[in-house]
Amino acid sequence: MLAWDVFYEQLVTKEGYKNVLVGLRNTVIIAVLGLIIGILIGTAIAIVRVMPKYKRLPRVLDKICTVYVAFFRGTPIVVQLLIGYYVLLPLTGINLSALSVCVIIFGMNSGAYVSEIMRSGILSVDPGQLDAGRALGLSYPTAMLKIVVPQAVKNIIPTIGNEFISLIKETSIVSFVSTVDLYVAFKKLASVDYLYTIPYLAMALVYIILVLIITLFIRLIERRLRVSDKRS
Amino acid sequence: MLAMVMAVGITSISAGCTDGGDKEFVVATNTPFSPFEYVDGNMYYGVDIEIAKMYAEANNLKLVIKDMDFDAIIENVNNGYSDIAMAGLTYSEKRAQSVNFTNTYFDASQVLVVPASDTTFDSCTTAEEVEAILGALTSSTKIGVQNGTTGQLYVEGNEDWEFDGFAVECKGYDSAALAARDMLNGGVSYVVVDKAPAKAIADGLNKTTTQVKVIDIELTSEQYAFAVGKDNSALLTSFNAFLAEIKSNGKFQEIIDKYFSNIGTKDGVAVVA
Repeated sequence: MLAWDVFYEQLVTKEGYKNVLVGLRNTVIIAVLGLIIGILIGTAIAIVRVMPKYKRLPRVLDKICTVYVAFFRGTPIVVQLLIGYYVLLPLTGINLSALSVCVIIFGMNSGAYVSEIMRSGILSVDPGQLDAGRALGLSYPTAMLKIVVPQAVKNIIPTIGNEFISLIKETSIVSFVSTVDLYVAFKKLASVDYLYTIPYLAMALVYIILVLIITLFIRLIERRLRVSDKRS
Repeated sequence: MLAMVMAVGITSISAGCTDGGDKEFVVATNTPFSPFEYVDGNMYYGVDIEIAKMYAEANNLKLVIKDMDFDAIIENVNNGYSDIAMAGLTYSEKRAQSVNFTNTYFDASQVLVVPASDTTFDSCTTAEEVEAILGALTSSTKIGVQNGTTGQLYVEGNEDWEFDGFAVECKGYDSAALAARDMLNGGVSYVVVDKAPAKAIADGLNKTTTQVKVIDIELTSEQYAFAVGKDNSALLTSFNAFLAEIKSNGKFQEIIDKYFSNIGTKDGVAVVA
């Protein structure tokens, strides 16, 4: 079949796979580092939002977090990426690669979503846990980080998995800032003959395999965290 | 965390490089726009690519090609992320307000690509006749274009370019090749695209069976130029001198012959070194 021959020639004989590997690497870098940044930012925001608001500082922080979440959930990520790379980065004068900007923007965007996931996790933990910690003399931050958050994390692992999977698939917009991801790399394979069918199907296959690996990985973490549940 | 991000920054892109001096010559482009720039396996080829390579070699610069969305190219050059836009850009006074154009290097025009079975334009011999047929169409007809290109302005109408536009529905795609693909699937009736890429698309799609044909009537008259940032007059001067030189010593014609007449061996740049 002509389409197969062309695809094989583009991918193997003419070494198009090199670009696909770069794309795969970038997709994984953006999704993994983006998720790590997202979890850090998201946890911080979630803690601020559930903090008691008797004093001024928590109230101010809460307002800042509200605006942050509203911005990152209220605008498309492609807009955030364009603003970050073409508007804000030149203002700062820092020399960052386009890929680094992608990692930061995807991380900040993910942080807004993870904050709500984390907040629901924290709220799902019995309030008595925090009270008990406080009664034993732990400070609020210690009780929160050592007692409540670990239990919350266990509850939200499946939802964090969702977030990871959607990050993997959302990276195709990086072509706006001249970066290559899996989608951009596969699209290039049809650049000469305009035979899109097989590159697209192959791309779908790679994405599915990637997501299946992540699913397996998350299930392993989940099982590990549930070990203590079975003790009687 | 910051260290990790920095590490990504340092190791990130070594793609699209050829050896040369330490100083980089960063070219912003958009594939596929055959025969001006396209990817074949792991190599960039095309008229623009070869001119870029020749310039980098002549000035002992390290060539870096950045392939991005067409809409993002001007912004990329303006911010100094790339030195020059080489992407079959059409010169226009409006665009010249935001970038510095080099001298023009290629006469181009928009043409219609239609399904092979379509006979609507067969009797046409002039642009006026084609435009009369297009003008009579209503919004129930769809025409495909590539987003951000002259073709889109031509179909939608634009005052600065003195295009009146047509009543048809204009559908924008990532590339003209995708628009042509959708035309075969019945998504649009016709595609408007630059003449040279139109021929390349037709050649690609007609490899086994004749599926599309190009109506060889020039609908517009435009000229391609390269574009550098507003404040980069040093590169502008240097590049214009280089263009004049390769036009007079025949090197430019050699490149054109390679891609339009298939004479000589094409000289590409690796996408991933």
